[in-house]
Amino acid sequence: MNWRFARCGAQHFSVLRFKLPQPQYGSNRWLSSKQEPTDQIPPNKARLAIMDVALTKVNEFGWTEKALISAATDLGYSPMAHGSSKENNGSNSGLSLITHFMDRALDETQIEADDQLHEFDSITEKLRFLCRVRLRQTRPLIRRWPEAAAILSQPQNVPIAMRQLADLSSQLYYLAGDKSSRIDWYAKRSALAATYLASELYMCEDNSPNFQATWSFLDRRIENMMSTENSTLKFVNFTNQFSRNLFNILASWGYIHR
Amino acid sequence: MIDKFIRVNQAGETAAVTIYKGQMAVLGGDPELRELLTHMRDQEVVHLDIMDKHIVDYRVRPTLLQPVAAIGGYILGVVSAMLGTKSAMTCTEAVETRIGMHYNDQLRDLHLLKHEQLEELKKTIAKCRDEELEHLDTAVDHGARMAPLYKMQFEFIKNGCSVAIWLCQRI
Repeated sequence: MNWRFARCGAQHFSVLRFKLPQPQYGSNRWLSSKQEPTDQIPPNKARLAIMDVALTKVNEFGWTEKALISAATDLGYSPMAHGSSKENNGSNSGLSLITHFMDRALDETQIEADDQLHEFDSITEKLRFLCRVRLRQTRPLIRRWPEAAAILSQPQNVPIAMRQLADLSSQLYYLAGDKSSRIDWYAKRSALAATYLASELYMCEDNSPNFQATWSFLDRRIENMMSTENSTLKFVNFTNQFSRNLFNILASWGYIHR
Repeated sequence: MIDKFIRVNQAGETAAVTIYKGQMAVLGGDPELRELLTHMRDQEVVHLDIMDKHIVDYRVRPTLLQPVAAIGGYILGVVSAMLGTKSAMTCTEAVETRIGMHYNDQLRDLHLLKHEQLEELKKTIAKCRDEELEHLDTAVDHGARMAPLYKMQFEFIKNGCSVAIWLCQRI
């Protein structure tokens, strides 16, 4: 019987090791921490360096292969060096530049926000602060960002854009210290993603000094987001309370037991 | 791989809590059974808290099927309890058998990864597994195998659990 095997307690864990010959399992590539899945080869250092330099050239050349070529030449590599990695083959170099920028911006956000986050009390305040920090990362390239948004919204790139956006909202919520683990996880993150995206697009059109208009736009969006969250919570609480009352009434009549 | 484990574990514990709640709603009249079910439910609630914490700590996306798992668990609990005490115990035995196997599969894979950071996770999973298997023994002691059509009920629920595990890992 299957469950007999399941009965070795934690203290007998070493027994399990002897029961399972390792080679049989070692051959499965997904079981080993050493071997990454083949479709996720970490980009090599040279490529990362080229990408970083290319970001400084985006204002000049846009999100194009030109920026990458120029960066590669500056660093003393062959002009085609950026395409040497398998990951880049056949894919859109503009898109890879954009995703690289978004990853970097998120890392920077974390580093920048890390020592200031404790100054804020509520999660809302923290989120507002984090969104600002993240938006500030886009600021140097803001004149070129509409092009990036256009590339990201091409149908074939939508899955990548969605993943980037999901990473972003998940990371910001994590940094803000959110503890949701139920279905509201999705509601919160999608709301934040929408808020952030709207603010970013607003920022592209913002001509006010020091992006004042963007900050107040962001504040209003976050307020909206929180009030929506509140009314959703109210609805959930109401439903919860209602079903609990119903349950109690049935229990008091003896139909069900608590 | 670890994210899949944590996701499905949380869904599983959600369902486990609601199964016992459903069984209690029907069988709670008997003081002895009531005490037994409360004890098992309380242990499952502790497990669920642990899994919720894992979701936050390891930054795993919870499954979208969570409400389905909760409602499905409740219905399974109520229906199995309505078939009689022994059928309820058969349900417990089948579910805990599958969950015990499932946790053991995870422990085996985690063990082969040989990461020091995973020791903590392994310990909690092993603890949960041991408690699930205690429930299994309790269910057998309370006549799970004397239920009508025992084999059929057992296999039906166990295979249902397998399908649920497969789905919750992916969605």
